[in-house]
Amino acid sequence: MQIYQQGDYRLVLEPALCKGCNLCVHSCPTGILHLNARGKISTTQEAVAEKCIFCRICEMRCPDFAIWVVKPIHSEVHHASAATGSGK
Amino acid sequence: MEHLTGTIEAEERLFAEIHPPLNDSEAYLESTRCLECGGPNAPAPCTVACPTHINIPKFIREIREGDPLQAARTIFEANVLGGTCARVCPVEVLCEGACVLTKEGRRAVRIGRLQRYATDWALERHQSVLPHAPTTCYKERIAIIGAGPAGLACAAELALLGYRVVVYEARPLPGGLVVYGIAPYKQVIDPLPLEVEQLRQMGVEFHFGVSVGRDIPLKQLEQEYEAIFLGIGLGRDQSVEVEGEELEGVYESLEFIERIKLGDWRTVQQTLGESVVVIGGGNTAIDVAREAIRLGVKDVTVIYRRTEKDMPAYAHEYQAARREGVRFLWQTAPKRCIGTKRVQAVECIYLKMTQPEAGRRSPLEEVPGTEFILKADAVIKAIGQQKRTDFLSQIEGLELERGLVKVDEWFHTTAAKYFAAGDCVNGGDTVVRAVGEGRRAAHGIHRYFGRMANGE
Repeated sequence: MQIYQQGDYRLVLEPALCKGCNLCVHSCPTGILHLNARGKISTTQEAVAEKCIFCRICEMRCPDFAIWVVKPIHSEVHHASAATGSGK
Repeated sequence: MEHLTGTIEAEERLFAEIHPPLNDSEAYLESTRCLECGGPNAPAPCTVACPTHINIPKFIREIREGDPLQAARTIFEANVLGGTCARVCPVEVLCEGACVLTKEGRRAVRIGRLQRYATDWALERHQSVLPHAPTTCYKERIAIIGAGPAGLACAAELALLGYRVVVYEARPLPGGLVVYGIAPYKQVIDPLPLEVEQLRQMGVEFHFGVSVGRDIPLKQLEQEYEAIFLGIGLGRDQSVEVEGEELEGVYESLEFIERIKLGDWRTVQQTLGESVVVIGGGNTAIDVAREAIRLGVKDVTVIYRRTEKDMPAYAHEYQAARREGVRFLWQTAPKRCIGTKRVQAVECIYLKMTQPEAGRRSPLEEVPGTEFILKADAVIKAIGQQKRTDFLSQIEGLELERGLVKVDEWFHTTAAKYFAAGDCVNGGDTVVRAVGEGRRAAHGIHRYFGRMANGE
């Protein structure tokens, strides 16, 4: 099991359950997922840190329950920090 | 036309909003569709796409949790004209266009209408949605010239930072083009007066009907204030420069919209007759064409110099206009307006594109012998607004670039005391962009006084 942690947010991949159908790779809006040399789901810590928006689409698409997205229920702190600033 | 003249039905049709408000259950259902994107480092795509960076997933969650007041606060915190923007934003190309659901082949969350639901909820109940200005007050005073979206946003942000702000507006009403130039099917005037009321409560002082340069000299402002913000927008409609432009029945687009919004739309309706020709291919041209249809005109034709794909208007607005029955003539230019006292027709000519120079739009050339007459009971010119170089040239040291004010990344102009944002800088864009720029300019002024804004 691979866990990519970003603060309270986690993207969890379970390659053992993955059959390499590519659905998540195609549906990820930020394009951070790929299949590794063995044809199993994979990503990188940097990609998750920089790009993952934790939208859960990969989790919803995965037919084999190989992906979990774990988010805090009230994520005000992170949302607030994402949107403050003056036109950045 | 008979079935429309002077009836309540006609008024309803003219001012009927394209996107009526959502009710409580519709808003709830729509809010449940949001995936609440946004990680610690990568904000949600909708928030990134919004020029004012409203925290959209947060306010949608607050609606879902049954707290529209808090949702409104989240919106107004980022955008003091949140209610106005909910109505007039081209959401199809901003937040809703970025929604990840569209990448799944599904309809985007109706962010604009949810925003309207929350802001209306709060404003209609006269709830305070903006934080009060801090009690500590800096000694600097700042003058804002122009109470359009950029000026109002800058004023609000400066008041929140603790400055004393005075807004000078030549017109009797605040809002700039929101009031005078936005088609009534998008927004008549509400909720702008309520939004401005919030600014007043924050301590912003307003002087309406005061034209800087005419009623109060610029020099006096320069002496009295430590910084001046220019949110003066653009001027009147550009002239088409054809013969017969002065005939009766030839309107300027802004004058046309202002008259149907604030004046007597019935007299305007009577002058339109059965066929209207609109000159131009921008969003204003589309707006006035759609307005003319709503006023009961049977035959509305838009003529544009270039082709369909060169048109600067948004694709979704153009498609909607076509569905409503607006006719478009491409590569067509007006040659003269024909008529004795009133305009009766427009003589047009076809144009062809010639070989462009590298990186430029191809020059146009008239095709001889293709002149034709287009019947027109009224003509509306909508080819853009004039630059306000007359006013701007009075300011010492202010550099212009093609008639627009040159600014740095903090919207500081080349003249020491002056900041500028909105249409007079960007050449004419959305309300929400002006709000975003005005807000950033406020932080620029804060920095100019040697203070750093939070989180910068």
